[in-house]
Amino acid sequence: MLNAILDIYRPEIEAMAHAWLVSGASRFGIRSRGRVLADWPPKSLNLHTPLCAPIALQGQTEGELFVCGMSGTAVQAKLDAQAAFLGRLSLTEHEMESVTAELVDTQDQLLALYNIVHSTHDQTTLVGLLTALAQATSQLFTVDTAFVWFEKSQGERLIAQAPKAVDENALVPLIDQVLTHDRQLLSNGRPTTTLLLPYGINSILILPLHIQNHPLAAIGIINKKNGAFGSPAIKLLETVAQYAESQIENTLLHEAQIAQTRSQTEMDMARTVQMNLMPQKLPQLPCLEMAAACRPALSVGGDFYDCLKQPDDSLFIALGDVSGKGMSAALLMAMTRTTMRNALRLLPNNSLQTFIDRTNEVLYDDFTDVGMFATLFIANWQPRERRMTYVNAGHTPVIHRPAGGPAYLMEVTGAPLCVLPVNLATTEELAFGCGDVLVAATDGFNEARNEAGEMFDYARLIALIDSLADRPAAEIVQAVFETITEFSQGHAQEDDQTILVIKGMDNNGKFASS
Amino acid sequence: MGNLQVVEQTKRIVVLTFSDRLDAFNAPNARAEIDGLLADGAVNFVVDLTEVSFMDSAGVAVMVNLLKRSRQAGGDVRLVRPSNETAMRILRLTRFDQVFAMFATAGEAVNAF
Repeated sequence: MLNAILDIYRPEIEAMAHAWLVSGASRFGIRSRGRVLADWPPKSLNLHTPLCAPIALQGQTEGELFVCGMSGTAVQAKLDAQAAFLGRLSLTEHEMESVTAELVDTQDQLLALYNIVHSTHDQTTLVGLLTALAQATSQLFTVDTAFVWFEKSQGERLIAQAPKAVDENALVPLIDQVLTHDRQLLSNGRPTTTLLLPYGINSILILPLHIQNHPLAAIGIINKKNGAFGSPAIKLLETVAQYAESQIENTLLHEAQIAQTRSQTEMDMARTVQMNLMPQKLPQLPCLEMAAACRPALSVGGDFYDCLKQPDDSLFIALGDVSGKGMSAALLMAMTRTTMRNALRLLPNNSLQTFIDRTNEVLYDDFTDVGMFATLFIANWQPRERRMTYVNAGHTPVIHRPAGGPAYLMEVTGAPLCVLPVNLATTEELAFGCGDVLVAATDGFNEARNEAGEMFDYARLIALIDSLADRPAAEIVQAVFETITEFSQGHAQEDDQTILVIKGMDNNGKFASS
Repeated sequence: MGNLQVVEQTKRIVVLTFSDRLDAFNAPNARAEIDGLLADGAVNFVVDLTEVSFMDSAGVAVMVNLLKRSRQAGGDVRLVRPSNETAMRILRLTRFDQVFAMFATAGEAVNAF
């Protein structure tokens, strides 16, 4: 530092020396650690014992001023004051040097970051980003290679190395060590007891990268070409690491959003397909009024209903519920609907017993493979007899409200479909004429819960149907949905909700409940 | 006694005892537990519902799933009736009382294997 002061302030120090010489001193100079840095007159030989004053920088003696040929306390005081001044000057110079060095460092880092940002900002895939980061880091440091590692999920590891210079498998233990201890790894080739560098690696610096606050990735540079990795390299790589962390998080978010959008689009399409499997228009029969609706809990669900006018003018209705929710239930629902339609086409004399046996037989193995089952209510209404034959394979709730009421829960006539290899459900009959109301729904209604966790249950549903019986079928459907929505306010819909309402009318299309 | 060979056989029967509620909320846990037991080779199960106070269709689905998978693996499921009427009602309403062999106690259910 004293050499620097001499370089910068030589004229001023020379003036100081001149002042000493004209006031009688035979020699004046600056020395450090026994070596004379400068003296006046130059290289003069003087046998006088000099007076000395130490030049201190941050408490450390850097050197001293000396003067020969003079003595006395006044001379010593003057020399001390000048030495203290030079010490102060050294300190200021030292601070300026530090600030300048920091500025240069910051500028270097900003420039490096700019290069990295520029080369990585348009990367939208994780693989693309890691590759760009490795390339930019490799260019930034004078090294053989740079790499970025990311453990996306258990067993799915991505690594980008630019240029490829070392066997990536050899890096695995080193990266594992960094991520396990969440600590940087630095080695400049000196053997340590804990770290053995793989063949071909002379120096290495690896930093952990925190993705959503967890050390899941790492960035590293290998084999510094000139010298060893020191503080500047660590500092610079830390800056790069911070940027890499945020970019990896952004890219993951972006990828997740794309996947979610794709999945949502597929679910929306599946929902459209599924809704198209339900009757788009209910058949018109002179003495019946019908309405139906389906509201899945997720985009798709396992509920279904079907209404078909048969060639003999009778009406076939079906409403069912495949156990479970979501895509798996929806797939089985589509399979059930197709099987039912095929069975119906071959149905001899509208025999529901044959229908249910055949449907159970066809579906049993597939349902059993995935441990699922389906409840099903099917009915055939004959207009002439105003009677309904039905099979209820474990399905609730089916509510019948005879003309004049009261409504009641119809009993099932057998276990659900695909529980046993042979379905034992029996066929029953029901007089269904003017004033009768039949509501077949899925358990998403009676099992709907309110905020307190209380279920709507069968009793409320039956009472509701009693109170709505005189209203048109479409209004009943709407009112049931509204009542359930109001009841379960604040509680998400847990299960699919499907409802089919059939009302018996007179020959003029009028409904008389009593 | 040189002509006598003694072979002792035991049959593994897993007793699953549920209590309180078996519904949509805790069905996933029950199913996960059952998955583990089936993967471990268990095929014969007694499901004790004595202490179950409430069951919904999701709870029933857990038992049907167990029944089908255990039968596929050559085993079976026996139920111990819930003492609570509300819980029993859903089994009766959906006729699952015809599907499962039902018993009054876990001991009776185990002995029925």
